[in-house]
Amino acid sequence: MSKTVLIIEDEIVLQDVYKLVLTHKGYVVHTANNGIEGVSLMKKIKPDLVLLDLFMPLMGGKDFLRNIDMHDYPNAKIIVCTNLSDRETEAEVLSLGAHKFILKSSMTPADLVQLASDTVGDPVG
Amino acid sequence: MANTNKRNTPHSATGDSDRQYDLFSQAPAAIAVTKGKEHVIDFANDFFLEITAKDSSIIGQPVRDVFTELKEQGFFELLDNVYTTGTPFIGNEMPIEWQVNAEGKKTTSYLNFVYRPLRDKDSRTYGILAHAVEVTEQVNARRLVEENEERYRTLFNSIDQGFCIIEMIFDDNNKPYDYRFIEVNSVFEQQTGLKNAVGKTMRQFAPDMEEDWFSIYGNVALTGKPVRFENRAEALGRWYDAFATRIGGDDSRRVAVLFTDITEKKKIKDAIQASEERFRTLIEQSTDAIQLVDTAGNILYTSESIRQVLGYTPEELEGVGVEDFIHPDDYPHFLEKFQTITLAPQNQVRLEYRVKHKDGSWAWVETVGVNHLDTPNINAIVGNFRNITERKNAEAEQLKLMTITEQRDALMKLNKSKDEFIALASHQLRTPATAVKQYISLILDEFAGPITADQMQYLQTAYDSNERQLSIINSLLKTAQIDASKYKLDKQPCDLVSLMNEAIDNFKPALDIRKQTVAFTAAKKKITALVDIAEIELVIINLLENASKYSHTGTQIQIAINAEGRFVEIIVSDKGVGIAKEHHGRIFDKFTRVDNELSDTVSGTGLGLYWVKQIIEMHGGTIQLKSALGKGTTFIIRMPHE
Repeated sequence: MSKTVLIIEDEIVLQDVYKLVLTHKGYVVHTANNGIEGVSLMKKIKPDLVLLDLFMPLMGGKDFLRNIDMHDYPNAKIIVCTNLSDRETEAEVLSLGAHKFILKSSMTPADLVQLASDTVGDPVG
Repeated sequence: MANTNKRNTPHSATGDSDRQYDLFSQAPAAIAVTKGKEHVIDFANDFFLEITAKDSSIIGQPVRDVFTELKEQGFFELLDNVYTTGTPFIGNEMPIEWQVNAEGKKTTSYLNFVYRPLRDKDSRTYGILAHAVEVTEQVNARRLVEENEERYRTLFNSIDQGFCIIEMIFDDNNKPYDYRFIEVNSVFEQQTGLKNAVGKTMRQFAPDMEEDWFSIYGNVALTGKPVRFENRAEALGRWYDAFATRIGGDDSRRVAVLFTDITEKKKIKDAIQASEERFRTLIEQSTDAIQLVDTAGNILYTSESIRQVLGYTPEELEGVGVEDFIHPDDYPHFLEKFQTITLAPQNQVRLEYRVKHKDGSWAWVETVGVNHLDTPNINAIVGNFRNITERKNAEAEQLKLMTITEQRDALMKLNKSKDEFIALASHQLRTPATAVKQYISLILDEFAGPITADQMQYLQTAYDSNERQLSIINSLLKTAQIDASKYKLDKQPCDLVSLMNEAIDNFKPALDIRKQTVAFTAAKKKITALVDIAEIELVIINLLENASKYSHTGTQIQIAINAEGRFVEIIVSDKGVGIAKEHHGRIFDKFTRVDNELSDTVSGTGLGLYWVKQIIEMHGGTIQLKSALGKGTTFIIRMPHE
């Protein structure tokens, strides 16, 4: 059974590179440009992994976390990928149900693939 | 009968009725008889001759020839009339002017007289009997009385003061109870409002008249002591100024009263007095002090309130010049304003200045000065002033407080906006750098196909450069977070010895390039402290980097970790270029880079030592610098185990 990844990221260049490497690896990838699109896609696709940006128009990452009920998605892992490096924010999003907090600028595409694999396993199997 | 000058001898021309004439001669009245229509004197007794100042030679002569002085006085005509008509004439107090002496001096006598016709047996008039009694003294005496009374009455009626004579009425206990008006003058009614008062008593007009009127007049009547007084007559609604004196002897109960209605005067006086009293009270009770000064600035008067306002007594200020009290800094301004006041009547200025308080301190006063030089009874410059020291102090305090608060707020706002700017800028700068990193990585990872070794090397350079940019952005962001006190330590137990060893290992490649060595000594194998590991690692790397960067190739860096009681000591020492003394003060400041012989060759943000100090202090520790130019540098960190 293939693993599904939802990328919620308003920065298209990053959305593209994440989608590129993860699809290449074999994950099924969906993208959303903000929290609102993210919430509706969550219900539709019930992803295994969510890569969630924080600063986004219409609805940001924290609001997204507040607007979904993690009980509806017991298997989903949410990794917050942001360029806002702030320990308070990190603690906050973890308390809101995020699995991990990653600084985007510290991560290469290879690191991302490794992270996805470490978190939800390889796409097939 | 012969004519004779002798008195007591009847003087007769005809010898008629001699006996009858004898009878007349001694009478105490002047008697004369004339005969015929020419009124020839036939008889004149001694008394007649005496009062007419004639002698017996007049006998036998007509009266018109003898009494020439009477020619114009009508007596001859009276005689003619009596003779012709036979009707007697009776004259009372008839004045007669006599020529009594040679100098022609005239005197007037008053006579009561009768001209009685003498008739014959046929009832024909043949002569006149003149009988006169002199009443000059009586007339003169009465005239004198009449004149006096006239004079008195004229006075009585012409004075503009009320006048009356009253008769006191006493009760059974000899207590004055009432009085009756005996006489009043023409002004009386106007001054009292009482009409037709004569004969009536005071109580008839005013039953409730104040008792003191009766007692005062009663006392005058009883004692005879005159009295002058002012009193109110409520029943008449008037005030009087009265003078009362008894007239008549001890038994008299009559009192003459001369009085003036002073109601209006009294009203005006009372009004002035009340007004004066009011203003005096106002001035004395006022919290403002009032002062009168002349144009030279000499104090003429100061109100009592000065005691509260400036501590002086009014007396000690009298005659003193105001300039003696004014603060030298405020005096020029005061003088300018003072001169403005003196220019024209009613000129008014308001000013605030400092004056010397009695206790020696400077007090702020607020003064309004008005030119009353032309105002009657004032003729001075009037100033009222109040002590506003407290207000001034409060204002100054408020201003100071406002300034401090505003400055702090402004600084905080500025600082906050700066921190927010750096945080946001860092975040926004990271995103494109992140994209560059990702895409270069894709190529380097040969995601888009194989690349040559050269291509890989160039891309790697681009990648490294981008990494350095990200590192600078991270530094800025971290600094902003530290400044905003948003930075929270995540403390965990940590063995500093192994942390140091790891750091040295990680830093080995850089050391190798510069052929530098590290000599690390630890007091114990394991020195544990409760620290934020990531931050302390950052501190160690920063100090290592600095020691390496600012030391020449081939030198040694010495590191030591000691445990002293509650404290841990980390010492990093190099034999590098050192830091001049004058730079020691700002070496831990933000964005500080000190020029030295190696500064051109090393890169840095000038934030490293700032973080080091902030992080150590957040751990409750201190960092100390020991350095001199060319003598190497030593950093000594002391922080608690926990």
